Amino acid sequence: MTTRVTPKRVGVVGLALGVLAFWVALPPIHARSLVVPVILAALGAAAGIYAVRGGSVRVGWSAIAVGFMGLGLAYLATQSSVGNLQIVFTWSTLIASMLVFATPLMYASLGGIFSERSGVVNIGLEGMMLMGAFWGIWGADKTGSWVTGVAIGMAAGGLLGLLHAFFSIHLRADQIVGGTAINLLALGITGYAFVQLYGRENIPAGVSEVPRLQLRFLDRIPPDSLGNFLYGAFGRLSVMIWIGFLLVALAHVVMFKTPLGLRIRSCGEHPRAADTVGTSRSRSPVCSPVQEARSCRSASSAHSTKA
Amino acid sequence: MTEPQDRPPPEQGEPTTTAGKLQLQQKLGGIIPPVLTAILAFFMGGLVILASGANPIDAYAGILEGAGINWFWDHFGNTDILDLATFNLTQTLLRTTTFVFTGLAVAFAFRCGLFNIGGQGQYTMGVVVAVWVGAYWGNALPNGLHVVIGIVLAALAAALWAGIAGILKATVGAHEVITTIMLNWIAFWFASYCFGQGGPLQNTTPGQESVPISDNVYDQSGAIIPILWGDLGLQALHYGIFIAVAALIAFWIIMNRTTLGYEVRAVGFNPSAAAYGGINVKKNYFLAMAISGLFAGLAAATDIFGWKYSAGVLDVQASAVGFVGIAVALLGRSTAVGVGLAALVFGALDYGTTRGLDPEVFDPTLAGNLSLMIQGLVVLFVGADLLILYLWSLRRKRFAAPRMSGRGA
Repeated sequence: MTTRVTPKRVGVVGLALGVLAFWVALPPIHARSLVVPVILAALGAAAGIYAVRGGSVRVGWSAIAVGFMGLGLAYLATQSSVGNLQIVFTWSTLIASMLVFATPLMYASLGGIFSERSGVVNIGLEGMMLMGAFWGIWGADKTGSWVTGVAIGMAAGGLLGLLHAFFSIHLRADQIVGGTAINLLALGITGYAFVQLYGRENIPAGVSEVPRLQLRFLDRIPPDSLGNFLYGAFGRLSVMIWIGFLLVALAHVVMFKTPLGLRIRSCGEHPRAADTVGTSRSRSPVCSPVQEARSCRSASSAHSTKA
Repeated sequence: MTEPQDRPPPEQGEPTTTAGKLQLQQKLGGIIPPVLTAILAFFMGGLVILASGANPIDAYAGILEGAGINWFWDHFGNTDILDLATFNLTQTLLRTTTFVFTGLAVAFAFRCGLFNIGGQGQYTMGVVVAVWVGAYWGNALPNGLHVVIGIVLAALAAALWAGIAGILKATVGAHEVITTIMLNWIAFWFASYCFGQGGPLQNTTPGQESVPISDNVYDQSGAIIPILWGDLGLQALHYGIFIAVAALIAFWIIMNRTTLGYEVRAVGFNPSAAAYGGINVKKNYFLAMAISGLFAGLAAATDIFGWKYSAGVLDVQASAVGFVGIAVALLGRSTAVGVGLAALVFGALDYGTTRGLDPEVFDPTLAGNLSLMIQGLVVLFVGADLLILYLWSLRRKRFAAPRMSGRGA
């Protein structure tokens, strides 16, 4: 089997070398001198230059940039102690909490994707998240179950999304002005409701939590340290985090593989063209802000997992 | 600019930019729509009060009294600052001063077709510079000069901060809403660092090392804006309110009587047409943002030199005057008179629902959130009301034509 050396392939190798330059300075290899990263980064950059000259400009320049970044990061890594590096890069709790903090962003951006793709600029995501967070925790507190809490949170965020949709689509108000209004409104509504419903006290402890998915088998993966690491990082995550990952995949399928997704995208890219083929312009974007309800789940999950 | 031919022609008669819509708005209905908007928002706020079991009329009366409006009939001519109505009125005017500036900061960009959400960040940068000049330059300068330099530098810093968004819009077309929101957060954390523990502008008072607040301008240099009405220890009304009035007049003159204002409005109404007419669109984007920032910086400078005298991490993080400015500019239709009146409304609402409100009448913590809700409703309705009017007028035209021909046949 022969593989031809094309500039693009060389560029990709250059990219990999640049990453490698940083990686060798990290655990478990711990290159403590800069010589190896410098050589690797230089090779990567050289490969990048070759690729640029050969015509793959984007890959080539990326390889050059990654080479320099790898070198810089490797330099920083060699300046910090091995102990610190191990804490940062092999401490499974850090990975787990990274996922916890990433989850709200993930849900919110899924909501954002649906509205942006349908041509509605959504500045009001923050307000929708706030509504979801407050009414989600309120629902969980009053009904005693996190499932209904999440559902109520979704409904609250979705309701605000509908309001935004009504004003920006049916009344053709400016979407950004509307979004700003949504943010202010959410701040006022949740603040008011909090004082009204809970007075000066805090939300009581012991609100039903989102359960964690226990993945015991990760612990038993052969090298003990690896098993421990994997279990610590991924073995005790909230169900919401895994649902979030599933929804990312689902959102991709809906957006790019279904008629609904096609309609949403066509509304965003060329509303009048969508009109001519009979897609209801006002209906499709209305559906999408409802999807933003997802963003609220995030918030309630974040709250319940921390509670 | 790309050639005009590349773009699809705009739909007939439909304004494509926010400023275009606003200009249309100004033609339609005059003062009536904003007044109706405000009344509708307050009415819905009243429903919320009713739902929480209080009497809306009593609550609103309490809010008005908290804002010191009763001074005009109950205590007229009373200048004693210890009188509650008088004191409340000065506090309302104090907030109005700030809101005039932040409202103008949004309004100016609006007229150029830009939505400046970054008023808050520009205000924050102005606060940092004002505190730096006021409290950390010693007291070698004469007080008057010190204040003037402080105000100018704070305004320039905020103008530069806004100018970043203007340059990005002009050169690479980055949407100003996104960039100003990002700049807000940069300013937020920059100020938090400056005033925070160990930060360069944290106070040097012995025993206060753990308090994340800056030094006090009045204690350090005595360079403050003179007091107009009230007592130094009680947040007195300062002469900055005249700077605010001057800013309103300047805004009107620039907008309506200068080339700059004409160009800004032309760009706001239709950038392509403005470019075709020989106006440098990029320059106007930058200038409009910078002047917007200038107004936000003036808000910060008059706040610091006028009555706050110092700033802390909490002040910076809890402040929302830039966002109130959006509501002010929208309710005021981005005109000088409108912004002035809207700033009065929101100034009264801001003080009347929080510190000024009698807790016996209505819970101030509820009312503070109510005022946020009313602001949100105002912004929401203002965004739509012109369009309701517009659609209404359009529909009348559209349906009028066939009907007439029908009659003729």
